[in-house]
Amino acid sequence: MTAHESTDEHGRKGGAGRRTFLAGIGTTGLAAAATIFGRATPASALVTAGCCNLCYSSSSSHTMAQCESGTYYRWSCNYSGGVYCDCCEHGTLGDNCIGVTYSKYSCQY
Amino acid sequence: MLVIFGIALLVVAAAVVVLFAMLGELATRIPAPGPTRRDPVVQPLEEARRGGVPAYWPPGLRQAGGDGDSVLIVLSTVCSTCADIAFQLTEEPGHSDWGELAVVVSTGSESAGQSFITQHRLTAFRWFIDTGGDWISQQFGVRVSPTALVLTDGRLSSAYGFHDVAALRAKIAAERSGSRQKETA
Repeated sequence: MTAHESTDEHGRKGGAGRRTFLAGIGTTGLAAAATIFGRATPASALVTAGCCNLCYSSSSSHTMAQCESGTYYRWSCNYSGGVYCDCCEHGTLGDNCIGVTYSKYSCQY
Repeated sequence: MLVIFGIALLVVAAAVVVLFAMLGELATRIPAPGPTRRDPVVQPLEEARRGGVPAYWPPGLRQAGGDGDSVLIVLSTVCSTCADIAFQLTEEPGHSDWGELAVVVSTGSESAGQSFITQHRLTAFRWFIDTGGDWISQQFGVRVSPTALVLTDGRLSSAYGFHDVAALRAKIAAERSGSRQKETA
């Protein structure tokens, strides 16, 4: 009984040591992973239409005039071959397209 | 035994982390999709108000206006070809030696403009985030990108639409050289 208790006590001591050691290794691993991946740039999923980079695919249920009403951001871009495109984001264009309700574009010579 | 297993597991985990980090690093080196051969045509922009002097200069561009001769590259966050222009300015081949250059980013919001500047590493240049494109459109009558506004003695002397920064730079250098020759003659 006494011998069993001694072994158990040793086991507990060894277990605590191992736990501390493994926790240290784990923390180091997590810190290394955070350092490596922490600087990665956030992914973006913009839709390319003509020479426009839009938050969403161009809305078929809205006209360009509707897009240019209320709060919106419209800008043109020049494509190769003399083609110009009008790019419109309806709503308040925030970072990562937060606040945009729909997108619209049209291209012409 | 448990410690050995733990260490082996950690080594495997570290190897996986390093593998993914290497893949990520390789992915960043793949150039942005775009035309491999850029259109070298530098086209005059008809709608720009030539001869105009801006009523005021935003803080980030003050030096550009103060020294008289400057070139404003107008990009926009909603223009896909503008990303390629930014890539040419910073990396391929890079134009950080172009002293008179400043970048104006037209955007719907300050935060989107800030992301564009950071993502394309445009902080190497003088830059200004033009929310709504209000400043550039009110002062110069331009609402299109990518464009270049050439200022001589603080006045808009010419404006161009372009796709190749090297071609644009050559065009402006020739224009500047021509006007200097006229002055000396």
